[in-house]
Amino acid sequence: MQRTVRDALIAVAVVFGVGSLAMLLAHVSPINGFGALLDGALGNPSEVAETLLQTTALLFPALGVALAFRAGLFNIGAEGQIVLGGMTAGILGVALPLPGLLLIPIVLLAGAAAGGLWGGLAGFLKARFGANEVIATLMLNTIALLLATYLIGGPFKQPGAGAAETPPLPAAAWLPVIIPNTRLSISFILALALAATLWYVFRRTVFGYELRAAGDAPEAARRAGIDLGRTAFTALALSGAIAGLGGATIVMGVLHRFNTGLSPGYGFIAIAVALVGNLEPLFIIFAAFGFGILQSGAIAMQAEANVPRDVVTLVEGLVIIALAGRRFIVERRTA
Amino acid sequence: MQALDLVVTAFAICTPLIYAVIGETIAQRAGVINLGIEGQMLMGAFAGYAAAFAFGNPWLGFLVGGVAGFGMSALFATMALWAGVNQITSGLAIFLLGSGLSAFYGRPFVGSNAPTFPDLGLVKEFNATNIVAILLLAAIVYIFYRTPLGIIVKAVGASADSTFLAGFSPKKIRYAAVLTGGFLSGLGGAALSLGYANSWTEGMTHGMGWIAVALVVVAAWEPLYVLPAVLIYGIASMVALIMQTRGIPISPYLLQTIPYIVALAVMAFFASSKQNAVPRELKKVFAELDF
Repeated sequence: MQRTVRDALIAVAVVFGVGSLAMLLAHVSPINGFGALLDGALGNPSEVAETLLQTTALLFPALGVALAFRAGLFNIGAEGQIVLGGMTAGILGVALPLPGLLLIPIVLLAGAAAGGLWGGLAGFLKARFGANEVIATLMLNTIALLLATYLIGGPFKQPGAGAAETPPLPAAAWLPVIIPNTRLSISFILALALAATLWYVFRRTVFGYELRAAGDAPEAARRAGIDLGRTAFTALALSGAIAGLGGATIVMGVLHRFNTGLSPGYGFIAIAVALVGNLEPLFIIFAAFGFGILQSGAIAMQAEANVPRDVVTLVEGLVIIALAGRRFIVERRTA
Repeated sequence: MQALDLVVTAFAICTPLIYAVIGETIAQRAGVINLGIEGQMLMGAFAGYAAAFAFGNPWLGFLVGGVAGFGMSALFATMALWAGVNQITSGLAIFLLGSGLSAFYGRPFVGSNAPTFPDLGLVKEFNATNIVAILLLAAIVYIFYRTPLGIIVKAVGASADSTFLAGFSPKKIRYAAVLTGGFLSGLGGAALSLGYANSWTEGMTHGMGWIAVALVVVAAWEPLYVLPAVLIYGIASMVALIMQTRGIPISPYLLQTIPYIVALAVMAFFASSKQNAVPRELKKVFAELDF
């Protein structure tokens, strides 16, 4: 708890410290720059809704990444899992002639299944051959993007589809909006519920315990009878399913169609979010909100304060560096 | 198109990759995985172009591109080797940092006219960056297989402890390997902006840094196989383009997945076979993910 609060403070300090420095170098007053960023992210209800939308888009993959991390596995393939989850939702949402009450859960689940398949593939390679999941998920990212581009432009091309996108979803497949006149849909609530569920799973269930044992002390876990291969497979498949579900919610709640650019790197930023949240689902919610502010305020900052929005990517990289570095400092001191 | 033409063009297109792949191969053979290549290449492409613009000389720009990659990898080395931060996390941080920095400071140079490397007129589209790539690759392959230095780098990747007992400093060698790799990936980025594209645009590497990671695996961590691996990748993408223009219905996207699928297969094969190409120290990195 203490550690998490300290980490959050470090992250906030890096964001403001480095962000201010970058703005000064670009001859912009940090007060104006951050003012524009915060105003653009939280200035009025519809902007708050957009920020929560970004929060949701980051929260799903971050929870997936955290689940894999718990088992000692590095899933850097969330990006590809988001793409495939979104693509599946984009195709099925148009193709299935069902009423909304049935259509929405089925399409969401299909998106999760697609992401799960992709994560599970890395898990299978790990469990069956011992192939490292870092490189495998990295390869699968690019394969997913190429595959999606091929599928929606080829075998699954539907009438009315543009280049690199599917036709618009029928309104029956749209996720219900929870704040009128905004794009904020039930996906936000779904993400929060998922975080709560994972909190429970990590803390109170045998499966959560097995994940942790496999991650923290694989040798002891193996001797205690935990099947490490199966745990790795399950963890990566679930991790992918959560990211895939996130991709489906972007398609069904925000874009209302799939296009191959649906994720501006959510899968990678999610790693930072999971780390800032110390792999604790409830803290990850706040971390995702923090990064959500950065993401949604960046464009306003560029438009109003003339600060290139790339400063946000830069700062996100430095947050990882700072948080990774503080472990070292703390360990040195206590060693 | 003639077969020779195809190979030469593929080589010209893939020259930036050659720098990056050989650089990452060196680092990984020393037991360090640096996933920040994409960020390093972007910094090399941007800094190289900006310096060429400022100094009015593409060679100086090329060198500055290498130095930019070197600087980014020094930051990586500080995190991963000095502070002992998990290598994967460190690499991803360098990726984000390099993308952000290059886009942030690169804005004024989008659409500007820096002096770039002219075509030499030997074979089509050949310029100095292509020649330097061949020379560097040949030198590195020679050093790697024929000199004590190469043997030591390989030894560090196979077993740091034994190398230490033999009287060498694994840490110093790893620093050297990572920094060399960073310099090379920076050169690769500069070869892209100054040699191939003749311009700078943000995010212009379009994932080349990740392709480089795949090709290190495809080349089975052997510098000798770097050129064939990169060329096969380049030829496959060329063939895809040609087929598309001739209306042959094979998806270029599907063809482009081939190197990644090969990389997965190579990983699976080496991970399960007794004859293992994965540097042993690299496996240790993967095994201890206490980030």
